[in-house]
Amino acid sequence: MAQVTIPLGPQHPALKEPGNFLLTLEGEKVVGAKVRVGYNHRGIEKACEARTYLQDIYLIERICGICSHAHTTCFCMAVEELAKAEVPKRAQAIRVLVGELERLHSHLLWLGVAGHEIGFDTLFMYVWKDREHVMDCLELVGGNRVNYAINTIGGVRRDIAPEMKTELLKRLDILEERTKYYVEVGTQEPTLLARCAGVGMLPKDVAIRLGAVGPTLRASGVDMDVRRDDPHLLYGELDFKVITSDRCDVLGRVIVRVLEVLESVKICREVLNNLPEGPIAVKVPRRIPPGEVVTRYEAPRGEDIHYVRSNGTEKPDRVKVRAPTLANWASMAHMLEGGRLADVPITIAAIDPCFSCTDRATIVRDGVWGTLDLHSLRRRS
Amino acid sequence: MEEGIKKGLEERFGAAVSNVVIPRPRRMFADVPREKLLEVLSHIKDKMGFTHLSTITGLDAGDHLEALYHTASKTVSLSVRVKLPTEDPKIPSVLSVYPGAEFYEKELEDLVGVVVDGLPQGRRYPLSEDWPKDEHPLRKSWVKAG
Repeated sequence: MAQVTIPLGPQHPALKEPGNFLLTLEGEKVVGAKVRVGYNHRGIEKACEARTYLQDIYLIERICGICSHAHTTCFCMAVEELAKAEVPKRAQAIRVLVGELERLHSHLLWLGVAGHEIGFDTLFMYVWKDREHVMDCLELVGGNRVNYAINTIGGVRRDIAPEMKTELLKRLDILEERTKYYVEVGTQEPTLLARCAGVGMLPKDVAIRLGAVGPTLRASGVDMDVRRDDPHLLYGELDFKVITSDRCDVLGRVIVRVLEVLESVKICREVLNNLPEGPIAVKVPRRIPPGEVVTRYEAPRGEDIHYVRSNGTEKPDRVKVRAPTLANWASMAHMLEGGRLADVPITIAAIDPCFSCTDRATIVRDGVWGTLDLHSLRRRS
Repeated sequence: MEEGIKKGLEERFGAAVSNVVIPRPRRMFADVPREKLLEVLSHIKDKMGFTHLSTITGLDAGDHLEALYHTASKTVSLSVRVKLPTEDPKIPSVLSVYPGAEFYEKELEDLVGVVVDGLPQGRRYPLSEDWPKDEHPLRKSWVKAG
């Protein structure tokens, strides 16, 4: 059969994010795939060198609209290590709490998108309705739904009040109950099984060889999680399971993520019930002693790694960020090849590539719907 | 654990591996010359369990360029550093050892201007195709960003 090469993207190939996939087809079968990315490069690493460490936090928060806390935590841990600052236990606990709430919202967002990609929009609407509970939790803790700005160098910016704890625990109970239902859907619902089983195969040895990370790697049967293997914050003292699946397909990636939601609920509860007493931040001088540090963090999509080098001034000499999605692109061609064209969107979506969702419509108080521009938002704040 | 890795590296490579430092548990740095890079990476991957390449950091250190290969075993992150003269910033591709490194090496070429020998031709990453070939934003001499 004659081969045809078609471009998929760069405009929204599967998710609302620019990426281009050059697919070679024989009929419906994908026999070759090339990934082209880079459309979203914004030069953040260079911009970091021109700003102070403190200013950089707010820039780094905007690397990703979904896992913003993952990046700021990774960066702050690096700067604190360079400055030899001892971050209070309570601050570390709050970082873990927000990190796990972020994982909850990210995984639930993904499950909804996955439902949409396989034509199961009821699942999408169910999950996104339930996801509002975790969005409310994040808003309660940080004041924002996406960029919570909880981190600062030396600790966190907001404390958890006792009444917040009660509300968070209540919402976590609802989320846990609903997620148990999604575990059932993920493992038994015939539509989901038919569309995801055997799709986007990534064997264990290939996943390791190509450097995959996060749920993508764990769904190929590799037991790796930075939270357990390279413990940071309070993760070394917390009780949680690293979820893996030997399925190596999209269904495995569904199962790993829904079960991880349950683990994250467990972690949030443990942290809230055992919140250490004490301050939430220590003062760190603006000038950071010279040195270099590598920090790793298990973001919702997998290993996030930052490298920070200081030259002794208040601005970094180099900030390097590798977000987890970049590590997973290398495996994408393998997952697409041998599959069918109709399965390409869900296969791409199954690594949960990152996109920004920072726009937010606002309700004006007198009951009239509208969107606020920056100027009027400032005036109201 | 980290001391054992340090000893293993020094026994196997002698003076070719220098400045092996352990700044804290689970973190290591080591310097290697570029002609030894592939040999060292193959050895740590096949014999010492550093099967994962997290990423590659390229940087402009003023009088020279650096490439750091952040490898990881189950428990330790080892960054292998290669120092390169700015006027001859050539380095071999590590795709034969870590086949998932293509985007990292392309980024090293685009942003820092390191020439990666043996990297397959194709679309560049992350800069666009019409970006000037001799402009590398992460060089300190490149000052257009504010």
